[in-house]
Amino acid sequence: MASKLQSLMFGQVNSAFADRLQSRAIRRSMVLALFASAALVGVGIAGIGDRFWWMIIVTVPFWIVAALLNLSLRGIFELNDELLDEHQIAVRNASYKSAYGYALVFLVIVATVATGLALERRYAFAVAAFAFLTGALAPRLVAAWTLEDSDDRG
Amino acid sequence: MTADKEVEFHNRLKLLRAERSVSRKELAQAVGVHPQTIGYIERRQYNLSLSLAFRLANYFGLSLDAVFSFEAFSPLNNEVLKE
Repeated sequence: MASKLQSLMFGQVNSAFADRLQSRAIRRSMVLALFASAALVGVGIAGIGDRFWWMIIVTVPFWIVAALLNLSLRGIFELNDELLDEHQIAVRNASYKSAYGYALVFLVIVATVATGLALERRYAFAVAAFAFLTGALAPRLVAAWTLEDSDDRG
Repeated sequence: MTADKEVEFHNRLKLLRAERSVSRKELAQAVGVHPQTIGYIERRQYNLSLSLAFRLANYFGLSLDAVFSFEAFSPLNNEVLKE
């Protein structure tokens, strides 16, 4: 049986607002926005130094975009299998499979470049934050980028 | 082992829905999937499972090969004229 949180999320990802986020163009825009907001987090961390609350504030756009991306993907990465159908499960599993390869290559490149540049501690932390945020959401980014347009009319 | 990745099912779901005035949402609810999944199947962007194929065929009261085929269906008027 689905928990209350899962049921609440199921309602949200199938709401009228989520229906408006189903085109491929919107999904791809969100992928780009997510990269930009993750970069903003990195820049924010590098520029702000140790001011903790500012570090929290620069992550707000990232979480907003991540939440919208979740709605546009109907929550297939958050909901339990019992609340998903076979197509949604297939998309999720395929995205995890291909994202693993992309994320691995991306993280190795970032780590190699960052090590070679011998960055200052705060810049290294900023690069790590960007790599972590995008790497952690890689399956969602792959799904959002590759999922076909869904025409819900009819 | 070789995967059947190239094989695509053709289907008459859209035609059957139109003929019987069934919306995607109604059909999706009847067979237990998301309405978007019906759209992906109709547009041949997703190769469905055998279980779902049977549920869909049962919903319309037809045999599996009347709804799904490996080859493109000929237009219905051709089949009517043959009879």
